[in-house]
Amino acid sequence: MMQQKKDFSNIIMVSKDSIVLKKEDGALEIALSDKLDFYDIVKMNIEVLKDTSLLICYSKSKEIKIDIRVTVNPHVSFSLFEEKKAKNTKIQTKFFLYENTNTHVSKFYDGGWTRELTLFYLNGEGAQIHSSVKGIFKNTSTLDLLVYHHFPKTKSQIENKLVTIEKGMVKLHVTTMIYNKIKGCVAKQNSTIIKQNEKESIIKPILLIEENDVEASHSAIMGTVDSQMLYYMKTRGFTEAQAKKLYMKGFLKGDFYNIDAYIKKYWR
Amino acid sequence: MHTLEIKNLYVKIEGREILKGINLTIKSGEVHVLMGPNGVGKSTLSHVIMGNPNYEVTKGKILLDGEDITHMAVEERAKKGLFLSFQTPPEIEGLTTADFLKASVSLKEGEKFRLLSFARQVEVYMQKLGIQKEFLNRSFNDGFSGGEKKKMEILSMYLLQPTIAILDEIDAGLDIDSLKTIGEHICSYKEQQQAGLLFITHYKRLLDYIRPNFVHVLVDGEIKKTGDATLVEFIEKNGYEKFKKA
Repeated sequence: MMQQKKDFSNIIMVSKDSIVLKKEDGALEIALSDKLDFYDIVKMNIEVLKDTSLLICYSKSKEIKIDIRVTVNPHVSFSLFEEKKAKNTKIQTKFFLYENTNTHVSKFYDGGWTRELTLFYLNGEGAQIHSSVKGIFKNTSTLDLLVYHHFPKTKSQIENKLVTIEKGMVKLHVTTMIYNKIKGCVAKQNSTIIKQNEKESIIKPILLIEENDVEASHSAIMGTVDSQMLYYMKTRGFTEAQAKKLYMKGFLKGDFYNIDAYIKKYWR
Repeated sequence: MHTLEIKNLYVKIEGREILKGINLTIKSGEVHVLMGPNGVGKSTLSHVIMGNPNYEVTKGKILLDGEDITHMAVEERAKKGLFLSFQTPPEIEGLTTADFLKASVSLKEGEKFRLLSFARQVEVYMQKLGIQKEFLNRSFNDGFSGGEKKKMEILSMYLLQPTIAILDEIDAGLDIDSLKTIGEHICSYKEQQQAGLLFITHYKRLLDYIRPNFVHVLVDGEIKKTGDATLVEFIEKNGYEKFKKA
């Protein structure tokens, strides 16, 4: 389901048994630890030395546990794309973003069970993070995103667009922290969960801000597809099912995965 | 020749009666104008004709070419050639204008749909309506101005080619130039397709471009008066007071 149009400078394929670097451009330094006996967790360190992009594909394996540490060196732009097709994942990712770095993270989840903790440490003046998480969830999943603005004039924009189907339920916690005397920061959070089932999901948008000189906002929306929008689409000839399918296509669309294939898979 | 007939229509919303015995017939090539003060049921009538499930038809019938469509699904009415342009069309974030228009036209045309001919048509109509090409790649109506949204509604009408179109306050929020463009193109659409049109409006200004055959005054859920274009002049001058007393 990976869309081939986008050109990635680096590609890593992750499965239960292996992590394979399929393509590299020399802008990354990647170090892998051996699996730990007891917890069965793989550790991966990625250091971003120059402007580049990386696609991580989590294959359809049953269980993947991984601990990733990403360090983006000063004045570097980095784009990370993740497509997750695994049935069961536990992932912790820590981003250390230094002075004047510009990091974009885009993730797409394909239905599997996941428990994930993502931490963004903005550790240099002018560091920027833009995170976009989209996905279809048909199992109970927990996503925790934490953003620490440790330096002035840092920016974070966190966007989540999730859809729950079948037995899917998401606990989404987004926390942004700006400490006292860390001035001139921008922190934005927008999270939306569209429920296509009766299960209860949760969004906890939290802004913990000690400093006054900041620009911050958050929004959290949860519900079904807007009935007025469905009505409008019906006046153009779409049935309810067709309208929902088209709406989902727009809601979940991204530039590195083939949304049409996912729509076909889940909204026949 | 197509005919939309509304016969003795009574409509309720949340237990409150909004329309009380509406009778109206719109035929191909005719231009009808529905005017009236705020909150008398003009938009309600347009949504009831289109089949909005929020409204309850308690009595009466809606017929399209003799077929009873009173309880027909919205999309079925659309397929039969009814079109409603919304006062405030919704924004669909993420779904491009091109994808939305393509999906709606391909749905209507089925196997006859040809992408190349669709693309050519869109280009021609967008040029006519003064819509920039860039709008095709933007999310449908997302961040569009009021005038741009109204032009999108007219573009949809051109592409879907309805036989009966209801245009709910299509002139609201338009600047003078946009009003002229939209007025001229609605007129040209009507001439080309011989479509029946029902305008819901508060103002005379759009009617400078489209000469109505019938003007109806809706007050308190009833059509109090039907006349020709001179009735618009009367309303402009005297308001609705006389009809409220009638």
